[in-house]
Amino acid sequence: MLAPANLVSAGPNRGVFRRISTQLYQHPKTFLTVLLGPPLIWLGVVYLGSLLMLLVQSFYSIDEFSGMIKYEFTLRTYGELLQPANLDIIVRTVTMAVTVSVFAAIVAFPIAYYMSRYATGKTKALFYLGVMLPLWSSYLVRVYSWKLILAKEGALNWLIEQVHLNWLLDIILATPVIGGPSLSISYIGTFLVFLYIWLPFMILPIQASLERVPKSYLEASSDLGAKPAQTFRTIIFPLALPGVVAGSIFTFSLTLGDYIIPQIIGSSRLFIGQAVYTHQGIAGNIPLAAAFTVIPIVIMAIYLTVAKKLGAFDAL
Amino acid sequence: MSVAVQFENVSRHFGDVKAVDEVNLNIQDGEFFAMLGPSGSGKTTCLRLIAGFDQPTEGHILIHDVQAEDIPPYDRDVNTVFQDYALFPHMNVAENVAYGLMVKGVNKKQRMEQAHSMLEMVKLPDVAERKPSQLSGGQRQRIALARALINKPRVLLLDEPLGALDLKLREEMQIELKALQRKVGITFIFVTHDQAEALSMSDRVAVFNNGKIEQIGSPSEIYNRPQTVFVAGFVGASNIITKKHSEYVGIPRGLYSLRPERISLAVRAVDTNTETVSITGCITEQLYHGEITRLTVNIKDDLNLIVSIQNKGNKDKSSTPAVGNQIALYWAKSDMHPLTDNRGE
Repeated sequence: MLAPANLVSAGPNRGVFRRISTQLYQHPKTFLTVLLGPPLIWLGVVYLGSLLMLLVQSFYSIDEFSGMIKYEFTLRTYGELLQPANLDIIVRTVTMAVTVSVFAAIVAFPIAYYMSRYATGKTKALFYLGVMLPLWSSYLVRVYSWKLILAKEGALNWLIEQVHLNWLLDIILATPVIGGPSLSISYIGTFLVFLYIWLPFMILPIQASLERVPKSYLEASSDLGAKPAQTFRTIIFPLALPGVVAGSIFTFSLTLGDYIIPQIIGSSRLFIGQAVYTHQGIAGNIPLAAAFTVIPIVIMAIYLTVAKKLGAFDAL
Repeated sequence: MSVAVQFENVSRHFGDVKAVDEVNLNIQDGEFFAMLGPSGSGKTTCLRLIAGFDQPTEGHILIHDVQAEDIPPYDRDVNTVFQDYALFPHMNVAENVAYGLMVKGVNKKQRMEQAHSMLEMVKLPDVAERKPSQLSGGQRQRIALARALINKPRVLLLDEPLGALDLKLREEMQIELKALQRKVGITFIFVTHDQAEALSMSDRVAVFNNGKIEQIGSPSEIYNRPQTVFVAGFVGASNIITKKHSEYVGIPRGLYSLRPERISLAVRAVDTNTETVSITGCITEQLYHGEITRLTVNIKDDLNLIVSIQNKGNKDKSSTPAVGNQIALYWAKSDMHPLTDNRGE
């Protein structure tokens, strides 16, 4: 029974790293623990822990008299959400998030399709760069530049005047609810900026999911008699749907949580993010802020459940 | 018999690469036709041209006497079994098979009935509800076949359909495919790089090399009367006797192919006469293949002949001649086939 020991070339000249490597090779579970331990602790304690704290906070309430937090479990804070003013904020934000997600998907799909199916080499690199480049610059700078573009004296207005389409803009801005005195002070403006800012988060997942659809599927579909529109409806779209859902999770939740864009561009009515910001900061109403934060989480959970029921993840 | 598919001077160039180079071809209706060649020889491109996934740079393709270039794949009476099967992963087996009917607008009840009868034809009636990912390679292959046949095409294209299967399954599927073709009676055009598969299954074989067809003929014609050095070498094993070698052997100067199994062993050399060639050499290699043993016999200089001998009766390896032995060989002159060499000697 000498053979196994001799297999490993034992000796003083074997380095310490090599011995560690061998140890880890022989004990894969240890290796896994070393590798996964730190990130799991981070995820478990810092991330999920704080989320749990948030959830707990939302069940406390604030004493109207003293403004102090009462550490007793109650549903009163959630009841406050149903007040017309708060409900308004929720409906407004969710409507905006849905609209932004739908339009982002519509705008992103052709771009993603071109990137994954037709673009090669330099064109493809250029497209990647074009999609990613805005993400490298400051979010605030981009939002403020949109303010300049959309303002009454801004670039877009100037362009519209040059092509004599002011009348069309006036009609659009005269539309109740979504209109306003100028693009930068209307929901249309807020929507346009949201759409621009979150578009890369929609393009990239769709592009990745389209990239995974082999060309032979499209050929097989066409070979079996499907016209291009049928191939799109029955093969390409269902297979890209996980990407669309992934992208919409980004655009949807990012819009739900954002508090800067609606503050800079749009009518001054509040969005959930702003409500959270005011309640936990100026008003010191942490429970209500927490309850507001729970809304996007609940909505996302419902959304994902429905998406799963509809078979959005079948192609994964 | 009418012509199912006709190539008239068809070329397909990708930049400087001539994937298909002035190919002329007539495939008869109801024929089991094999396109045989090494990878990159243009056979798959030809298949894609017939399916309509690609367009010829020059020339014309006629499918049942209709010029096909302007017809998109979805309007061609041709269906394909893909090399990777291309089964749609988000649909179950029955939906996959019924796909061709669904896009034509056949109602659900009818198309599911037909899909089930197709599944019965390929002997997989019980997998209808499963997803393609839950099937084995052989099962996927059958589903791909059922899906391609449900539209009742006049021509079925098969792109290396057995390439991904293991040997045993491949042999079973060869027999089944052949039986299926007899049953449905339509044209099968089969692309393969496996010469044994092409020979055993098809009515006719086209041997492709560098975008051109080297030879078209029945399997026995291709095997017994190869016309070019490439065909002689690619289809089965072959001894190529060059012009220089023909002098050693004592035959008129020329380029010949001689199949290893046509050479017989003799104890001592007999005289070369008008009908047979006889020669002696030294065995340099002996490879045991089970049913045959293959000997390499050095005649002179760089002339080596491969000889295969049937292992009949002599179960013992020792009864076959051993390496280093001198041996006499003879064969009929009629077994040597003159070749043309388009690359020069």
